Amino acid sequence: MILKIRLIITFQVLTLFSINIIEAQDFLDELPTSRRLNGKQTVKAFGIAGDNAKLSTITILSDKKAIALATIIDSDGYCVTKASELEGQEAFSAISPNSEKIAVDVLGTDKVTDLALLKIEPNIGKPVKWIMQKDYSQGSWVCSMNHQAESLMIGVVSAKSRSIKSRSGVLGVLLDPKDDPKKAGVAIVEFGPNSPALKEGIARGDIVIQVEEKEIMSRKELSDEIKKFAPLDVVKLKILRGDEGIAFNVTLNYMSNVFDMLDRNQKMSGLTSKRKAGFSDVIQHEIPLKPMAMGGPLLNLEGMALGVNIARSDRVTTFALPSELVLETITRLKTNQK
Amino acid sequence: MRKVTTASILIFHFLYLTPHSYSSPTNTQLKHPVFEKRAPESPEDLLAIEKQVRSVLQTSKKATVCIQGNGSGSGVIISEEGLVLTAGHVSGEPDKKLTVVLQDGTKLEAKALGRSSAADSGLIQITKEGKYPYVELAPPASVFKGDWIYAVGHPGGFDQERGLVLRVGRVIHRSTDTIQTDCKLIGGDSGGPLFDMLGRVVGIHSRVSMKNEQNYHVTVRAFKRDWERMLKGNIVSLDDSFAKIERKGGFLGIKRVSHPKGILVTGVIGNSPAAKAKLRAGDIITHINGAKIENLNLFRYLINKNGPGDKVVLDTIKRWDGGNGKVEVKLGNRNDFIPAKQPQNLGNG
Repeated sequence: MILKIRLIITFQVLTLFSINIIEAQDFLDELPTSRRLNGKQTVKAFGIAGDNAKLSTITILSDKKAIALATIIDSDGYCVTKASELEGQEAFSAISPNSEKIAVDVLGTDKVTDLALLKIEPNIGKPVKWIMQKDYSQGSWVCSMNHQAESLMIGVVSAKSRSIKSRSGVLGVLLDPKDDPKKAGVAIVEFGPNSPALKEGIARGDIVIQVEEKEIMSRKELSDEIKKFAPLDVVKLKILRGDEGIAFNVTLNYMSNVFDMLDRNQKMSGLTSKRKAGFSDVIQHEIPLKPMAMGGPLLNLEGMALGVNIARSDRVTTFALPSELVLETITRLKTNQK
Repeated sequence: MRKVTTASILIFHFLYLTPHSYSSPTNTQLKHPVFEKRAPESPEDLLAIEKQVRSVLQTSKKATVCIQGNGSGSGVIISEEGLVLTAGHVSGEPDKKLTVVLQDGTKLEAKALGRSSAADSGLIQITKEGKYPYVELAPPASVFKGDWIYAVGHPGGFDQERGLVLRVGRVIHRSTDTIQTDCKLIGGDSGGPLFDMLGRVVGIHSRVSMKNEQNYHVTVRAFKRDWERMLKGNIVSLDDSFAKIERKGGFLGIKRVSHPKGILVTGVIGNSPAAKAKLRAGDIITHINGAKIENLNLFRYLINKNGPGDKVVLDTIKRWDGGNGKVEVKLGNRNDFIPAKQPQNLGNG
């Protein structure tokens, strides 16, 4: 009798337990990763386009660190990549589509498009086949290799092709909100993240009285003067600290490296490209690429290259330069070479 | 004998495998086989998805709006008179004046109606009279795990040159109030529509997760549940959502967990109506007054629609007696069994 009851109790406990497990499974009953948009099975459906992407993408290394991808444009070994990712880096090498370490030379860079021309040994991988089409339809499937060309990533063209207005360089300072029209200069009250002004030794309470040759009377004048310069431009500042006038040369930083760090949407975007603006034409797509995955080709479903990825802008936005603009730039860079 | 067994196993497998592909009524209206596959298998399959999205996208975009007033969010018009679905945190306080911006940049005056702080659903009415482009709302719970869907919105605010931004993805998970997808979202998308492949609204963008490709949308079901009260301009909070709508206090007296067939009784309170009706732990309740119990919330709701003294008929699967049966229960008063919470004394005591 006791045994019987015990059996029943055990049975019931087991039953309840199994039900709980079912519940737990229900809760975790998510679509398997492999079947999601960027899951293995879905990505595999790209077929030849995926193969082409892999074969025409190389990884650029600086010391052993992967800093960008590049697109193989012909069998002579010419490639293009995103120029600003090479800034401040050295000891370049590359990894071929067959995972072999190869040498790479930087032949030239173009500030306007942010493309750089590279040269590797001939007959590596498979050069891209370009397709010229001015405006790609929203919703068209596209694919690119991700960081270190490890895997294919897919998405769609997500918005209209257009130009992206350039963004000036920044000092990374917050100014005294009280403008005193009687007094010359503007006081610095705080610094933004990665402020180049702070790095140069400018301090809180310092008063900016001159930018280059221009005397500064108001906040607006200071900001208008700085807006004339691009990131990495060196700007001469005259600072009043107490009674002392001090000169500083400040290398302006990218907006992305400074004030974007305080932006809510940028904060939820993870890493983005430092240069993400100032392009005369871009294709906008949704492939979630890392900034170190810029420079690789953007291919359509047929495996033709629509362009070259040029900027990871935010959580939902990646820009590619259209093939026409890329080809123009390549011609220009090659001519400059000769 | 062996043959029969094999045949029955095959049939079992057939039944087991097919419901997956036929689970979604949406899919039966989509002709291409990719919509019944676990994943696309070829560029042709992918192209079919692309074509399907493009065939309905322009209509979706015409009805998708930017909502300005509580920061910048998105929304979707679902009636010719200009009723707009959005997220509760985009519509904000009822009666607040808002601006609705159409795709072409036309700005329209609007006002917030009600919202649910529990589900993050919200309604807005365009106050300027007119005939507006709108889209159809999908029936509640018509979207399933694995379904292809697409998201539209104004990420980062309205941008005429860029226009509305599209994202394509799949349903990762769905619960009563929330659809989880791999469509990428960011600030400004909130309140924007999630569409099924027929261009019907199945969700409203609500929250993002740390993972880029894992974001959350409010279900149509959550909207429908609080519809009347939101139209009246009420704020529905977690406390009075769903389960308490018609809380008449009828009391059954069981502990329970959800079960694929209904709810599973895990305990019975002594002398409760459930005990008197001889319900026991291990029993499964499948229906209340003929209505199928799909989840715990629905069970609570269906019991609470009745007051003390009301009779309800439960369809049960009895663990101990065996077999199915109907049990009539006269509900009791909750307060007789579970003492009402007294306010905490914060005074000198």
